Amino acid sequence: MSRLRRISMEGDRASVQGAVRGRLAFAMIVFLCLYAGMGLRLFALTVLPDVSEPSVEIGRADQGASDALHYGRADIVDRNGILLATTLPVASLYVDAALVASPDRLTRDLLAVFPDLSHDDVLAKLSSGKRFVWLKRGLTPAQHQAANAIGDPALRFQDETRRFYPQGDLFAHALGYVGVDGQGLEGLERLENSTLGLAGEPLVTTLDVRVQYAAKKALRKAVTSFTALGGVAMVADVRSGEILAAVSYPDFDPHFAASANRSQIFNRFATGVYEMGSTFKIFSTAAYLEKDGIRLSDRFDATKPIQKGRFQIRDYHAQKRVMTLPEVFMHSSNIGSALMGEAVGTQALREFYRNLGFLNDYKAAGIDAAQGLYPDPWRDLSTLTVSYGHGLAVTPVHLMNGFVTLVGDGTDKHIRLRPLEDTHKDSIDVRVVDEKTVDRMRRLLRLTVAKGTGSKADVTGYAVGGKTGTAEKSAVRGYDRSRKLSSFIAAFPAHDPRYAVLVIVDEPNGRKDTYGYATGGWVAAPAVGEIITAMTSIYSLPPVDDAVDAAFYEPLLPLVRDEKGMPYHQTNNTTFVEFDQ
Amino acid sequence: MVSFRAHGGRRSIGARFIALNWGLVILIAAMAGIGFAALYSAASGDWSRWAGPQFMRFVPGLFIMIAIAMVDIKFWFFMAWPIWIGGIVLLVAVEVMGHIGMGAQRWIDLGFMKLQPSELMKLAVVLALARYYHLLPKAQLGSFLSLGAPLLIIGLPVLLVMFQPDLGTSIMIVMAGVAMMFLAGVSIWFFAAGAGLAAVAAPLFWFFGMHDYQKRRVLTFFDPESDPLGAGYHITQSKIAIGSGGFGGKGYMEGSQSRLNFLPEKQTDFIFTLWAEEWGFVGGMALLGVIAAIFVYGYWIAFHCRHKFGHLLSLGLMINFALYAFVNIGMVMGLLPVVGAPLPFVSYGGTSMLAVMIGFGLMMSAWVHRERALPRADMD
Repeated sequence: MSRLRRISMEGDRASVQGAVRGRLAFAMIVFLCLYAGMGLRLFALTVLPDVSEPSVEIGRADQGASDALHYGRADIVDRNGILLATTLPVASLYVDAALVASPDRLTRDLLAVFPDLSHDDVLAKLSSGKRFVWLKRGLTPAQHQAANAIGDPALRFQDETRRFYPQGDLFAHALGYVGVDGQGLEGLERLENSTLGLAGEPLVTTLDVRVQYAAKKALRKAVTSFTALGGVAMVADVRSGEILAAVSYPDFDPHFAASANRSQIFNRFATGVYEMGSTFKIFSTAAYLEKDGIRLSDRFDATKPIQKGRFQIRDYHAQKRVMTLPEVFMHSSNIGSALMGEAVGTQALREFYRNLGFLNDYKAAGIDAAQGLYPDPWRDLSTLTVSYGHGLAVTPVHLMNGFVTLVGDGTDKHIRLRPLEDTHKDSIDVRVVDEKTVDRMRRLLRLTVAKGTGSKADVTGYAVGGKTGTAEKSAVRGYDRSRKLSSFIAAFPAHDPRYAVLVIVDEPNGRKDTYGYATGGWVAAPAVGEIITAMTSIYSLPPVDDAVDAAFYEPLLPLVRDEKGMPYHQTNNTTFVEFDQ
Repeated sequence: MVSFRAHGGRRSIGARFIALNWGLVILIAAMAGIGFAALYSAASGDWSRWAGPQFMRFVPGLFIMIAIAMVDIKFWFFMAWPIWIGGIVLLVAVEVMGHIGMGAQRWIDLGFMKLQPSELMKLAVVLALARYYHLLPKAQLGSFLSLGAPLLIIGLPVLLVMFQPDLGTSIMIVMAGVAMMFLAGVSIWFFAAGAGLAAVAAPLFWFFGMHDYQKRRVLTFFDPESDPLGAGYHITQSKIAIGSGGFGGKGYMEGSQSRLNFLPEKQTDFIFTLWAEEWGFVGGMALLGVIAAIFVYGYWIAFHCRHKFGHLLSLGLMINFALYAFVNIGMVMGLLPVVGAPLPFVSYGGTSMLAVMIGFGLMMSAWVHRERALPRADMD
């Protein structure tokens, strides 16, 4: 017994210290590994940053980035910081139709709060049994409270944000609008959608709410009084290319863009492609002035229409005489302009128009204008017609940009809706015309308003220079004389233009007090005058000295005679010869 | 041979008191001290809410622990089966007259305290297994028949605890029991076979043996972010709170996440979260270090036991302790499913603390009487 016991005791110790020892070590290692794992886990949780979580620093930085409260999409402001578009939190109402106990009663209660909803429509929604049905989005605070006071558990509210346009329809086309889900669908809202979506600082535009209002008021008056289809009014800063106003009329309420009709929603300044007519004589004349060895006293035979095959080029106010260059311009002679174009040549004129951007679509900050139409193939006859603005169609934005180029300093300014500092400056100094051509064009434009077809645009003391345009709109076959596009484009003060103004009226009808006329001079020129008058007070512009103004354009007077062939009276004895080098 | 051993026989009470493992007592007191501090903070500086009662249970617990340590290991050796049977009786009793609380029927209300038999059962299983393998001749460790008794010792209480239902505790009993069998030297082939069987049984258990809330806990464990506002909420909030502590913690009594009731039961299951939030990585590692030191100490005791009973008893109790601590901390850090295991000595709760201290008392008894000669089956 004793020996057995001894052996067993020895065996006992051996079992503890021998074979099982490996298992003990194994268990020890397993446990220590588990605790080491927990230590690592603790390290990961406490010390290592969690990349999936925003850090406190980032949160603070976000908070400090702006003083104001931002609800989603960024605001849009005009050049003076006036709010044009903002985003506010609103409640939207939906129903969990599965919880509706009495659809009839709830429908009655809802219609008491929302009289504009349809009874049958609401009843159908409440009876649908669906777990989520919109009833009304973008409630006013009063509606929110009233709907909540119904107290039905099936009614639920969803916090949303909604885009508001404090200026209503004033900037409908320039700003565009957003869809129900906050995506910019037109205008700046679409072009700057990604920037606005970042919900940062307000987007600053070049627009001026005061000028925009003046432009819209004058345009609306012209469109309604001449019972026209619609129109465009634009104002741009000639020196910077910044657009101060861009109106397309009729317009719409951007809060209810979906219910606007096609005419209202049609952005005429960016997507309306028009044959501009006589305002294009500005460009053909400039192209001619760019040629070597020409003089302002060059003469053009407008005694009879130009016959090209079955096609005839006539003048509206045919004077049947040989005209000097300033006469062609101020009396808007199609024949004379066609002859100028012919003298420039097809190749050179097409290149000139391409440099002015007329043959491409137009893209600049905040502006995206459609591609126009141009003759293809470009025959010699096309050169004659495009010289007076037919056979080539562009948007008003194209016209304005080309005009700003010609009357500014001869370089392309790229008219835009975003301030200069926000866009590239590199692309700006592309010279299109010579400074001498700019100077001559300014004098011709001033002469046209002072003595020619644009006199109704003149604003005493502000030396407006401009050009009328009256285009016949193309019909299925040829042109329709009764459907016109009447326009006026101007810059002031003419000797050193600061602002450019464009008004286009689509299909105006003559009135008794305009003797049945619906031409640019009668329809658009007065509207331009009204806008300029408003701007002189908005910007407190000092008037131009009469003597300075007279000294600027009167030297041209010896070259021109009026519609009846009579010479103009000169106020002083400056001579033309001085600058016709 | 027996008479050669210096402490093979009984010693005086004083000698045994001096022979107590005071280093372990200090470590236990340190861990309990962390518990009082954390509970004081959890109650926002109210001693009487949790920390006080916890302390008032710890002090008698300490005396009970020492008393148990001084009792001859031979007594516990002979009491192993009676204690196990007593535990089974209590588990059955809790089914019959149990106090319903927290959605599970786990307590017997003794009037002065609520007794949770499953806590005592864990000790009873360890005792019974240690005795069984002490007596089992080494040659039979590979015998299939020798598995019968251990499977009964483990299986019956596990079934009863599972019926309470308390999945967490039953899993813990299984794991501690299996670990003891492994350390006792049971043939490795039985474990391989058991693992194979478990692989087959697990799907059956999933579909027929688990309550919905238990399934949800397991599913949520695998992807807590899938349900951040529902079942995964607690884990996510706990991780946020621990993470917010950073390296050095937010400072004592400054834990906003734990204090603002983002956490449920912050005084019990999520006490580690509060501790780690306020003391950061440093404090959390300190607590883990104390736990690891206790674990190593338990191993030390086991190694120095000359009898297999004390050896296995110490290992079993230590594994129980380490498993609980691991499961609790792993749970609040999102490493393990939420199974509702308290953190020994730190979590608020009477039975848990008492059971753990009785366990350490037994372990220290094994240390004090490590040279004691115990009977063998092949003897007498």
